[in-house]
Amino acid sequence: MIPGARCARLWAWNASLLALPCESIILYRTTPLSNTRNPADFEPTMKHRLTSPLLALAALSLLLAGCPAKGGGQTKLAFITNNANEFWTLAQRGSEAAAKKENVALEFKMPSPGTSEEQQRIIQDLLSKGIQGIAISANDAENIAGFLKRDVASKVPLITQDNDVPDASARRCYLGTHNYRAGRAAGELVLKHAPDGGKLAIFVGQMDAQNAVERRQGVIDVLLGIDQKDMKDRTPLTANQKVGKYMLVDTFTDEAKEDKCQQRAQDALTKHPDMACMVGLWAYNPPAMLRAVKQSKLDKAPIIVGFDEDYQTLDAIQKGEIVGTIVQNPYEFGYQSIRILKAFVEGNNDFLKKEYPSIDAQNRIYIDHRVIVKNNVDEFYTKLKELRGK
Amino acid sequence: MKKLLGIFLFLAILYGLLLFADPGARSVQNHLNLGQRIGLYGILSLAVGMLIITGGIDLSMGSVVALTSTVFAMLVRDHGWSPIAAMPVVLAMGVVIGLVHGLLVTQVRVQAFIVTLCGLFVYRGIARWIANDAVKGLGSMGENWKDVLNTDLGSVLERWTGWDLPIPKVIHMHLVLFLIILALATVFLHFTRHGRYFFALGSNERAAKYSGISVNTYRIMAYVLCSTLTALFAIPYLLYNNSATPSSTGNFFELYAIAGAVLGGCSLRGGEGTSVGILIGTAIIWLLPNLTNMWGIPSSLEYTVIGVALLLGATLDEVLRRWGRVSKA
Repeated sequence: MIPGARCARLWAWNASLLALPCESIILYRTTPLSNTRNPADFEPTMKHRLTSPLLALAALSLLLAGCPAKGGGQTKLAFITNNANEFWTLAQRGSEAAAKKENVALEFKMPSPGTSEEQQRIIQDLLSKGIQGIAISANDAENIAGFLKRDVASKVPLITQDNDVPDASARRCYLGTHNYRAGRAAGELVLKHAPDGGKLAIFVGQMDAQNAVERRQGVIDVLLGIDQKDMKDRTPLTANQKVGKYMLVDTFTDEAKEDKCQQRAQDALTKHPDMACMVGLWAYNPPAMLRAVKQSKLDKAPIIVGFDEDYQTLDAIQKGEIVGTIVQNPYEFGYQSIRILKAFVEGNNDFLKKEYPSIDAQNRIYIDHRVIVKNNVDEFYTKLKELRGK
Repeated sequence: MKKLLGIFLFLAILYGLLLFADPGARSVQNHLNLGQRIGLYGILSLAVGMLIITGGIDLSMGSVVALTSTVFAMLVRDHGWSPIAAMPVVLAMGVVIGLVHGLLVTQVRVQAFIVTLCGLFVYRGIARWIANDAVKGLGSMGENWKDVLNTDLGSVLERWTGWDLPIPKVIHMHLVLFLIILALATVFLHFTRHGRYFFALGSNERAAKYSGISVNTYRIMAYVLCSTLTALFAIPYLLYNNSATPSSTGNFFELYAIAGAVLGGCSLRGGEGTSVGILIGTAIIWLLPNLTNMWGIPSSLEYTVIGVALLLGATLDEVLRRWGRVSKA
C-alpha cells in the first residue's frame, strides 16, 4: 500500500461519520473521497438519537488519533523513558533530531506511572506494531532485565540509556551518565561550600533506584575522603551517622513527589535549625528544598546542592540561593541512542567500537555530566532555553 | 441483559477501532497480551466489585498487593521457601486484612472509606519497612510456576499432553485463571442465597436486617473476599513481573479496579452489578491504553484520550439505560 493511503481512508471514514445526519454534531467536513469505500458501508443501522454519542466517540478518537505513525520505508525505532519528567523533553529533542537525520520513524514514549509494568506493556504493544529497535531507561532494572532479555533482545536490537540493567547481556549497550562520578561532583561542591562540616541531609525520590544509590554514595564517599572512580561499598540508610566531618541526619525519600519533598525538608529544618547543607539527588528536589529553606526563615540558611536542570534550580543559582547543580546531557542520550539503534538495525555491528573508542568491556558509554555553578549558569541557561523552546 | 448493552456496545466500538488501528493490533501476540492484562487485573475488579455490590469500598487494594507480593518475594527468595508453601501464607494475610477491615466497619462502625484509606497507608508502610525500601525480586525462583502461569493455554496443554495441538496460542493463562474465578463468582453472586443477600445488603441494609439476614456476617464476608482475592492476585502478579517495589508496586490499582467494576455496572451506592459486567468493564479499561499505543497517540495526550473515552462510554451506557426504561414504559 502506498504510504498515506491508509491515512486518507481514515480521514474519509471519519468524514463519512461526521456527515451522517445527527442532531448533536453540527460539524460538516468535506474531504475528497477518492480511493475510499462507499460511505454508506459505514452507515449504522440503528438510526436513532442515541447514535450521536457513538458517532461523537468514534469521530473524536479518530480526530485525536490523526494518522497512525507513518512508516513506509523508514526504520521504526522507539525511545522509552522511565517517567514523564521535563528532563526527557531534551532527550526527545535529541532523538527527534537524530530521527530526522537518519530517516527514522520515531515513537517517543513517556510512561506517566513510572513503573516497570507500564514499560513492559508499552514494549509489548510496540513489538506488536513491528518496532525494529528500542532504547529504554529501565525502571526497576534488576527485575525487568529478564523480560528484556527473553522477550525483547531476542527479537530486536535493544539498548539501555539513563538507567542500565545489571545483566549486561540483556542489552547491546548502555549510554548515560556515570552516576557515581556525578554524585562525587556534588560531594565536591559540598566540601567547597561547607568546608567546616556540620549537619547534612540528602533528599531523593526513591532509594530503590540505582542512580539514587550511586549518586548518594558518590556524595558520601567524597565527604569520607575515599578516592575511587567506581562505586564499591554501600553506606546503610540509617539516620544520624557520621560521614567525615559531617553528620548525615537522614536520607529523606518522597516517592518522587515534589510537595512531599518540601514537607520533609521543612520538618528536617524545624528539627535541625543548624543544618549546614542539603543535597537533592533528583531534578525536583532542589526547588522543593529551596522553598522549604525560604519558609523556615533561618538565620543561617544551609547551602543547597542539586541535580539536573529544573529552571527554578537555575534561577536560584543565578541568584546565589543554590550553590550548584550537576547536570546530565539528555539531548545526547536521545541523539546517540537513535544513531546506535539505526546502525544495529542495518547490521552495522562494528559501529560501537568505531564511534565510541572509550567504550568499556560491558559496552557502557558514558555521556559526561557538567557542574553548573554561578559563573557558567548564564551560558548554560541560554542554550537550554533554545533547545526547550523549539 | 439490557443493562449490559451500553458498555458492551462501547467495548465493541473500541475493539473495532483497535482492529482498524494497526496491522499489529490484529496479531495473535497483541490478543495474548490483552488477555493477560484483562485476566490479571480482572481479579482485582471482581474482588472490589463484589464488595461494592454490598455497598462497601476498599481503597487499600494497591497497598495490599504491595505488601503481599513483597512478603511472597521475601519468603521465596530471602528465606528459601517453596512458592507452594508461601502461597497459603499470602492468602492468609489477605483473610486477616479483610477480617480487620470487616470488623472495624461492622463492630466499631468506622466508615469503610476511612478504614481502607488508613489501610492504604499502613500496608504500604509495612511493605517498605520489612523490605527496607529495597526492590524484592524472585530472580530465577519459582520457574515451574512461571512456566505454567506466564504463558498461553495452548502451550500448557501441549506440554502436559505431549501432543501437537491445533489450538491458536492466544489465550493467556491469566485469562484462564480469571475466567475460573469469574465462573465461581458468577455462581456465588447470581445463583446462591448468599449472593442474593449481598445484593439485598447493598440496596437496603435495614430491610435486609429486618428480613433476618445477618448483615454483619455478610459484610465481613465481603471484605474478606475482597482482600483475599487481592492477595491471590499478588501471586500471579509477582510471578509475572518478577519483582515488587514496595514504594510503588500497586499504586492506584484500587482506582483501576474500582473503575472497571463501576464501568461494568456496579453502583457505588450498592445493590447493583453483575459479574459479566465487571469482565466487560475491565476489558474496556485495559483496551484503551493498548488502543492509544496502537494509534501512536503521544504519551502526553494519552490520559486525556482515555479519560474522554471512558466518559463517553459511561454517558452512552446511561443514555441507553434511560432509553431502555422509557421504551419499556
